[in-house]
Amino acid sequence: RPGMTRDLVGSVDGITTMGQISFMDLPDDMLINIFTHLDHPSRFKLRLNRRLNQIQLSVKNKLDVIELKTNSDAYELSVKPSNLLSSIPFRDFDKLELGLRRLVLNTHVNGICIVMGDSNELNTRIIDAFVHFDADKMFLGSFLHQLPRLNSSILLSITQNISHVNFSCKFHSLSTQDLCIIRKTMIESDCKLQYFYADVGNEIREYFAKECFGVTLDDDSTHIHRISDDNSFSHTRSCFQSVEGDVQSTIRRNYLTFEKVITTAHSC
Amino acid sequence: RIYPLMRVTLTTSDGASVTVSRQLTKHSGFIEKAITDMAVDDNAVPLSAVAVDVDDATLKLVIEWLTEHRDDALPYPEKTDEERRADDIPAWDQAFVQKWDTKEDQQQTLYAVITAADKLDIKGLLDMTCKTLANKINGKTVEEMREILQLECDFTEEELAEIRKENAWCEN
Repeated sequence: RPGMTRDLVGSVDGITTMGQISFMDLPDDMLINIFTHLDHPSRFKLRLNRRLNQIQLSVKNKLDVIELKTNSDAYELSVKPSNLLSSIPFRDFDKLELGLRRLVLNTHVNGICIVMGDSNELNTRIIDAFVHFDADKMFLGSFLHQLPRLNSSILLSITQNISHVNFSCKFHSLSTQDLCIIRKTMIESDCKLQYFYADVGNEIREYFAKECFGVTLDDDSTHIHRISDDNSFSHTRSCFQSVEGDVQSTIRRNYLTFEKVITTAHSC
Repeated sequence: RIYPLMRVTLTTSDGASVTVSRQLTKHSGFIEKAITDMAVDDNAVPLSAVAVDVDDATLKLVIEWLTEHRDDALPYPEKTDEERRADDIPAWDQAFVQKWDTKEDQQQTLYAVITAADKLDIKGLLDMTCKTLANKINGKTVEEMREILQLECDFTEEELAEIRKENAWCEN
């Protein structure tokens, strides 16, 4: 095939001597290859100019765990598998928020664990940043039994970005309406959220049962008084359960769950 | 099918000619494709020399690496991000790169070999050299990375301040 030969020989024209190559002369896919061999902190530190800053975004980060805890004056951030432990003073809140908002752009996390001590606006913003991660599981707890107020935007992000969510504290600011929004989104949309757990107090539990299922529950769910015939449900001494669409809702004494199920059978 | 005794002539970007065994060139996707495209029969004999966009000095290093790795399994195994690691460079390869330290500009050689491996489509060599470069900067500070890679900063002061804030979590 003479034509092919000519093309190949022709490729010799335009050749550059390899004597003077800089790091930035390497093509994008080579730089991406180098990025993928760096630990995660180094990937972010390598954003040394505009091109590298853009290339870093195209490198998918996969983290096992991101854990955030608060102590008296700082956020403690732990990242695995990098084994990075970072302490960020409360006064540098914006650095943590900006860092998280950059990290979420190209990072998948297996597990997020957040344990907060305070309910304040800044912590709401931190949670807002975290729920934008593409994540498998998120645990949200508080050693003061109180978590920041979550707005509807945060709740929607949770349903879109995270598979399993566990609010493991008496989450007083999670209202009946919030729970209804989460459940409704799981039923009506093709969202990512597959399992939702929340500790709830009696008041929320009862309001929610009435609002969503038209039933009233007494303190231990022993007696259920049916108000409407619109919902199918079952109950035992300590459990109320309903399936709508492919979502099974379960209300127990101290918590409730919404879970995507394959079968429509439901029983406590 | 590869014929180990068959030899292929490569012409370099600076006009040199090097003749090598097909046993070595089988690791180069670029050369193998060029040979296949030019072959006239089942013996896969190329019509003429294969022109490679690599200079003579760099090609000699590539051939040295190929000679050591001539029996490596093909195709080169693709790795997921989770499987990728930079601390598994074979001892021979480490010594091979270490030799370049005696040269005036070791980093230039590394860039040249990375570029050559990319152009010749030699995945094993490309992977090894990228790992080697990654190891040079892994865990370093921003200033150290900038110095090692000799990179200019083209950010504005405002952009730089923003990036410093964004990176606080990993520099703390």
